[in-house]
Amino acid sequence: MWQRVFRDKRIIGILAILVVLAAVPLTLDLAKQQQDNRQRAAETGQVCTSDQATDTMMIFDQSGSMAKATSDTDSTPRIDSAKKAATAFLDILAKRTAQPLHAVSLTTISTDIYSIVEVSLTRDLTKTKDAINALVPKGGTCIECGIRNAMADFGPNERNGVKNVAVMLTDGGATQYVGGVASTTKENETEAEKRALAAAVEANTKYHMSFYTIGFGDSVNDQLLVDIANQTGGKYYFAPNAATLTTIYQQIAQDIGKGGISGDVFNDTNNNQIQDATETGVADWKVSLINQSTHAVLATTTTDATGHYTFTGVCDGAYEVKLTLQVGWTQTTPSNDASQTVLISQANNVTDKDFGVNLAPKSTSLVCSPTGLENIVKDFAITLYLKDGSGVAVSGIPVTFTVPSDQSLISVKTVSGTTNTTGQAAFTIGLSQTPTAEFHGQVTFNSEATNNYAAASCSVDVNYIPNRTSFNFTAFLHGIGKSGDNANPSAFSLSNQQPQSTIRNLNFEIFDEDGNKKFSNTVGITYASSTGNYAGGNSFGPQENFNLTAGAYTMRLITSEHLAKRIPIIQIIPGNTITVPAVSFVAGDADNNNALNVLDYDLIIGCYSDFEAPVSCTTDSKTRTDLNDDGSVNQTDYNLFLRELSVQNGD
Amino acid sequence: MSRKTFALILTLLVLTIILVVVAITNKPSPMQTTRQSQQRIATPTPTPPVPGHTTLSLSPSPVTPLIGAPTIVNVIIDTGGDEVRSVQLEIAYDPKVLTGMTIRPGTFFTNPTVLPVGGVNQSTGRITYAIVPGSFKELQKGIGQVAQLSFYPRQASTSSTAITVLDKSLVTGNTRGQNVLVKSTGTNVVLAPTR
Repeated sequence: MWQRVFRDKRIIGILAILVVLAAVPLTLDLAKQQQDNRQRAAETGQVCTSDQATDTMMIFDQSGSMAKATSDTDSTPRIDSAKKAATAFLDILAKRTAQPLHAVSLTTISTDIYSIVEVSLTRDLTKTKDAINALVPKGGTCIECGIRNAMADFGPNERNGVKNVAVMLTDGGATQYVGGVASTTKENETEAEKRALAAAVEANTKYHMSFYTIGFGDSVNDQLLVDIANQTGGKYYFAPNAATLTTIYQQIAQDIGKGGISGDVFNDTNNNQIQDATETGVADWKVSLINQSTHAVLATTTTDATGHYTFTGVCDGAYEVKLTLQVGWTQTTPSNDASQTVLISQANNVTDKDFGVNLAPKSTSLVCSPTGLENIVKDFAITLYLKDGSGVAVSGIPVTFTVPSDQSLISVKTVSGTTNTTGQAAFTIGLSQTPTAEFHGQVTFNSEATNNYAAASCSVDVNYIPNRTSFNFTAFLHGIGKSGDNANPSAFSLSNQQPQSTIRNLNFEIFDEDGNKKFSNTVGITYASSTGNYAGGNSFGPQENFNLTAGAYTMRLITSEHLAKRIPIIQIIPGNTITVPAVSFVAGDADNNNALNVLDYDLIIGCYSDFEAPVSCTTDSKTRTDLNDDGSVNQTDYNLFLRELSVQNGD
Repeated sequence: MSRKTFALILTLLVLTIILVVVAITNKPSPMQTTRQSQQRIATPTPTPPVPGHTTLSLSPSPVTPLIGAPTIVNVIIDTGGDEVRSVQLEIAYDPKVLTGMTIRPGTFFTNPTVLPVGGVNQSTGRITYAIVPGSFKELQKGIGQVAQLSFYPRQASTSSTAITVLDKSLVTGNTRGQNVLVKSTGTNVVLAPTR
């Protein structure tokens, strides 16, 4: 069969078309995957899409010390090891695809008269290699000479649109400066270092020149090379041996066609977001380089001893540089713990992306003692206690106070406005005059925030409450405690001595002689088994709109599921304590309409449970028909209701 | 390649494209989604109001007192379909005109019990009278005599006087604690003129 199939050209044709149709989406899918991979590679910054051309000043130490052995275990003269690494560097640049091609000049570091431009800036890297290989150690170490001579050649020859870098190698410290003499005195070396740094900064200012500095061997002046690199947006490398030196040159060859980001992390002790002269950098702080689009972390580094950090080999693109805050510190700049945003374009080196940090102030607590002054009629002493989060007294902190503008009656005098060695500050509070009405105010005290301590506050309530009138109530509820029932109020043996609701609300209304309601409120009354009744009270004043004048009044008392009671005459003298005559309430008003009738009877019968479980009794109805409050609606409640119904002596 | 083969390939190609387009553009119908959402929406059921249809009236109306015998007036209940549990009558009359007023249970409830509330106040002319069935569970409906009034006219000074069933009267229905009384009607007592 298969032979026939393969012989039939039509079937083969159809199969071919189907294969093609299947191949089309497969091909499209593969193409998409490849595109994704290219995009991902570009986004990570691992491989730059273009190689920025550079004009490079190679500054090469050929001082006499370069004749010394490379290291204790390597007798090769330093200059030979350096030549090998430097020429390898040029070989890498020669193979790079940057357009226009990389150009390199070669200037030597030696004594003033020997420090010369060996090769002017040229794209002929072979010529530069030859010149390097021909160098012979001689003279002293005038780093300033090397930089300035290189600059003198660079200025007329630099090209527009290319990146400017300097790669400077030395095996020692600066011992001479332009126009000076070779001397190993401390003063001379200090001056030589100062001038060398100034020359490098000048190159950076004039030509945006970033210095990649390499210290080679065991007698290098690290600090000078670090300063030159940090202040020009470059990077410092230390090479203790020939192998490391070669690796460093290779790394620089990879990086100089790319951008760089650098900055400092400093202790912003005064929180002014600027690194002042007295504020130093902080070491070992983690800094991350983040792709602004994908938020992927591309690299992390830590600050050096001076607080400086550098990212090199950064491709063109938009980035964020984020500082990882250490415990107990806050970031002062950029504010709100923000990142630094950086745009690398044409492989430029971006500097001064700084972060200010400060040790967060310690939390404090301020305690006012006392916290409230009731019925203030004279000056009161207020003592404030300021402590840190560990409970240790904080001294020397100024404390101020604020009084709301509408409370000018309050008078505050400062006795001691700064915390003493025990953390205490002292004030007095009084009223400038006796108030004519009830007065409620507040004074707030604030301890100032300092670099080391956070602010804290506390407040003191200031009150003047004239003539509050107190009412005390006593209520007997029929069927409960020692109230008995209406048929025989003194016989309470059948009353429930342990009611379930031991606290009830008692509403009271006060009427004048003309029957006008003058005041009403609610108090809680509590059952006491010792007295067999409910009792409670409260005081009232202008704050509760209690403005009665002395005189005779009528009082009406109401509590739930009982008939209201009226007290015909009660003498009220404002400011005094009024003991309201005890009231005996009639129970049974299950529907709270202040009447006993068949509606209440119907509710009680509905919850009656002596013979069988009730079928039409809600939880609410049960509560309201359990007249003696013993938890069940039974014959006792029924009998009590009938007796209450027969008397009905409510209001 | 023959024309037939070419046509076959072309047909397959067109079919393939159509199938691919259909597969790519096939989305759930928005109409179906809407229908499903609408079905989930529940329509709230309105709660019917609780009916009350019961009336109380005095019979006969008017009534003419008999000479030498007590005059009887029945308190008639018509539940209008309601099931009722108890009745509380609030009746007012003029004690200056009528005297010897008494009230007793009627036949509407089985073994009725009179609750100890109020009673007849001969001086104020006010009757408060509560009647409940002997059984807590009993529910009654229909028309019947719920109570019976008995009185004598005093020496007539007026031609007539009213006995009123006050609106405060209560009839409890099937729902506990609920009054189902909607209307109450009194009667007029026609007295003989003074000789």
